[in-house]
Amino acid sequence: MADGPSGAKKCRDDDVLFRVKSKEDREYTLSKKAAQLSGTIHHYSENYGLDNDEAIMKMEPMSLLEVSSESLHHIIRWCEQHRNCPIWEEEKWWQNERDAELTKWEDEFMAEMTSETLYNLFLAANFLDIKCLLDKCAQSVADMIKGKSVDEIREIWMLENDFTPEEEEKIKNENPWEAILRYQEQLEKEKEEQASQPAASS
Amino acid sequence: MEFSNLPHDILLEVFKMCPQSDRVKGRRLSKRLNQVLTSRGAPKLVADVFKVSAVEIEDRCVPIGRLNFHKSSKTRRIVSISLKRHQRNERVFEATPTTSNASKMPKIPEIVQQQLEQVKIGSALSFDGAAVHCNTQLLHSLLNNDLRSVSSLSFTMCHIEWTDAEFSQLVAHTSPVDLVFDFCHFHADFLTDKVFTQMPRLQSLSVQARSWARFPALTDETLQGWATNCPKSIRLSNQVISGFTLEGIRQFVQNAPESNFELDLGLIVDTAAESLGKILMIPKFSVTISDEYLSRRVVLTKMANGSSLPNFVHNFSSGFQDRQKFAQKISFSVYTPQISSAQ
Repeated sequence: MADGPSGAKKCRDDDVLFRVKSKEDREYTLSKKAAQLSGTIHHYSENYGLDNDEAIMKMEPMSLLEVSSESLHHIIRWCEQHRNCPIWEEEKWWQNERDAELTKWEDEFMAEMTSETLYNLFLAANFLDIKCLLDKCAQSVADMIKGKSVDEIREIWMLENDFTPEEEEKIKNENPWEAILRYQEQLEKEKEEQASQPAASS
Repeated sequence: MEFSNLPHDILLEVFKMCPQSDRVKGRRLSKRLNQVLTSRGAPKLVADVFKVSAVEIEDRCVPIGRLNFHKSSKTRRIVSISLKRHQRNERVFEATPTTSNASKMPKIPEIVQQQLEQVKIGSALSFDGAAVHCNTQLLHSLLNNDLRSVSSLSFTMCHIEWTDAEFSQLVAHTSPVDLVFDFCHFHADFLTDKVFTQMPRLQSLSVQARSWARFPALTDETLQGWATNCPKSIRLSNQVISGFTLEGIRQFVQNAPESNFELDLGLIVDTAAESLGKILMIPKFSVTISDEYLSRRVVLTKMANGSSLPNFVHNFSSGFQDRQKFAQKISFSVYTPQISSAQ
């Protein structure tokens, strides 16, 4: 598996390490600081008395039966990179404190993901309750469909149209927003055309 | 990958990141996504204006030639809700209960609640029609939603049954800049000083009553508040009787801010004739007084350059005065028992 974007942080030798196991029974470690980003690991630690370094060092690996090795590898990379960020409980900290370097790293990290990896990573982040990664995955999936037509989105998300033509027509006609937004799009187009006209004439 | 197989909560997070137009398209993608996007936790679409209209119309017998029979005693209520965004109006709900299904029809508060589950109001909330009763049930339907971005509240021809405490709640949940009551029927004294202290951003108020309306708890305290933070336009029709006094108006005019404003304070009942004399003496303001039925109309004006117009200009040219030239204009009708008995 690729090590990812340059400048990636890794566990240090003096770190207290958490042991985790993927669904393929492969063992991984991540630093105590990085593990604090995960709500699931936090609750596990509370329930199994892993509240001091000694207990963590003696722990049995935590089984993550819903997380594949590949996803876990990416999750650990993400958590190690964000080890100095606020812990899992803090909501939406990433909206206020944007470190340009970290943002760049995140963008490179997400750019590496194929659709399948992103899908699995999204599910893994949800299982491990890593809010900042969930947010980033949601943004990436939303970016895939931004401004696309219904058919284009179906193709990107590999969706099958399970509506009958009548049902589809009904949704289209009954939803007032369709008309409102069509009008809005038309206005925006007209504005763009108007803006481009003087530029073209000059 | 089939992203629509992602769990419900995750899909909601994804759609929260999408612009409104993509969320609308999302409903047409598949049955599951349609269900996700219409579920309770789905991100709401934002409408600039949310307008509730309800009118009652009388059923008429069908005329035969020139013969037009008596009016029917049956009335029908038409309720509609429309949304406006980017100057485009779209009706989202319309119901015309017939005699057979009238009892099954949801009431206006229920309809409003149902629609507001899917829509967030961007700036204006409007009620229109004589069949709209602004009562406790309607208030509760409204307060269950996020109304913080509502800056304009408008009521036309409605029955306002709210008490001042109830209306205060609505005001506290919104941030009114414009407040309009046009030809409404007021059942309670709901416009009070307390209500106006909760509207520091108010710029425009218009109250026009269908019949006489009394607001005795709207007193000089509100005028004092406006002296420090004055709305641009206040328009109380002369059927609206407030608790303002001539002395309160005099103090307001003397302490009025330098900003431009135009205030019509409706009808004032004041027995202190000497207070009117004091108003005539206010420097920098031109005062005109004209007789009306049972009252006197007083208009105080100050020009943009700080000077007052000579009185003969008012007397001569009231028909073509350019309103734009006035920096400050305060008008009101004053009812005094002595004047009316003399008339």
